[in-house]
Amino acid sequence: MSMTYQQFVDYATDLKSHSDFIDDGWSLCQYQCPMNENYIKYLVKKKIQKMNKYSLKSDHSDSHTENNIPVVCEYHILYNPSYSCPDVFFNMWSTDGKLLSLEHVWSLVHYFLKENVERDKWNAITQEIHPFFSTPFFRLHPCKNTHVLEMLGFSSKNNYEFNPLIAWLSTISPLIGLEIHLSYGNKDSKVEFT
Amino acid sequence: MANDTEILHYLWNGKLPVCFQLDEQEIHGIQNPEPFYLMVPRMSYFPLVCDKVKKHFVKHVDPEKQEMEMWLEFKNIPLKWNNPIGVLYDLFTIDDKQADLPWQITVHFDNFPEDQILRCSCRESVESNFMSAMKEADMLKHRSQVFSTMQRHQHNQLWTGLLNDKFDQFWSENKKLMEPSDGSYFKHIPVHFYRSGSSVMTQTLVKPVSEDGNHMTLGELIKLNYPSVDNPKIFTHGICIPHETPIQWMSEHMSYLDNFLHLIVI
Repeated sequence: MSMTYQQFVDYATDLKSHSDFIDDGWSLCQYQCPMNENYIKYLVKKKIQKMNKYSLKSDHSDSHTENNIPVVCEYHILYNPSYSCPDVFFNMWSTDGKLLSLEHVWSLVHYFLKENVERDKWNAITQEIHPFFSTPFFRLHPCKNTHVLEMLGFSSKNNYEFNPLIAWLSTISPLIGLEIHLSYGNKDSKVEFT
Repeated sequence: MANDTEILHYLWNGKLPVCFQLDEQEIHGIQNPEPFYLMVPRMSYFPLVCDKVKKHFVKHVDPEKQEMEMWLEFKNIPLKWNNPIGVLYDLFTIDDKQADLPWQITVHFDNFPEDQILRCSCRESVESNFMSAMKEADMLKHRSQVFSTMQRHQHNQLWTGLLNDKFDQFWSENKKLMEPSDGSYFKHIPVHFYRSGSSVMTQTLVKPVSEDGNHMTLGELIKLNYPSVDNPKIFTHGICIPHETPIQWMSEHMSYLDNFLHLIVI
């Protein structure tokens, strides 16, 4: 299981074109590597959204508190050359500009994935240094991404009717408070994925 | 794999004398705290060795700020604790002929630079950071086939070996991660590159073998990645490394404990 950088760029370009179509706010940015001066593409989305904290009751029944706090979110989807897979970095601030704590970010995980994350939170989402900007971002651990892609039956040799990057992103989106519009799932793909 | 154990011991035992001082602006009350001196392992991480430093200074800051997270600064640069101590020292002093030992570090409790350095609320954040670097390194070296088949207690040996400064405990497991998978090479070499004076890290896929099929040397690697740098000097562990050194050998013997080579290019 591995995705090449070129595949990633193709999938990201397709995601971006549908995002433009429904005005979803994703942009395709470029970062120039200071070493070899190559340009590296990645997806970015910034948005303010109201979010709920979810907590598990002691009897493990689902519960969530409707508190609708506005949160400023910034998501970066990068290609990770070590793991040959997509990699998500994100930051969340309250509207006064203060960065949310890691504990707060954990609490925003959707309740149906909550228990899994609680059990192993230090291997799920932690704060790490962004590889392009050298500043702190939250990050979903990349080995989870390879795992998700495997479960989705991704292999670089398969042909796809769907965009694997979108399938992956919509799978992990409840972990990071990201909403993926349903139309990404049934759009007419203009690109042939190979 | 890692056969020159003398070098492994030598690097493991590398230590730096540090003099910690509380930032003048943060001193609360009339009594100035004494500076705090400590010998710290180059291979370790600041949050793992600074409990005593915190205890020494915390009573000298405003009681309202005593619960805040301690952070460290050198010459107005907040120190990224997720880098090994030796890397931080080399990054900011190797250019500077005036850098005297002990290393003078300023301690802060207030105004945490959250846009520059990671929060470190507890030891788990260091452990998680360290173990995920090891996992990534093994992904590069063996497509993760060694690390992911290790048992939990073996992972714990690695972490507690670092934590308690126990060479044998750490290397009893780490030697498995340093075994070349096919023939005498890793698939890729885990390397973090830095330019002296800046904590910006860059990473690229590094192959242990050059185009002509011979082992890649450090000089070739740097020429490939920094074509515009004339006559580069490359440091790690405070040592200037000869250009003809094979990077496969360096990876096995001169990696930091996270299994990455941390190379500083001048």
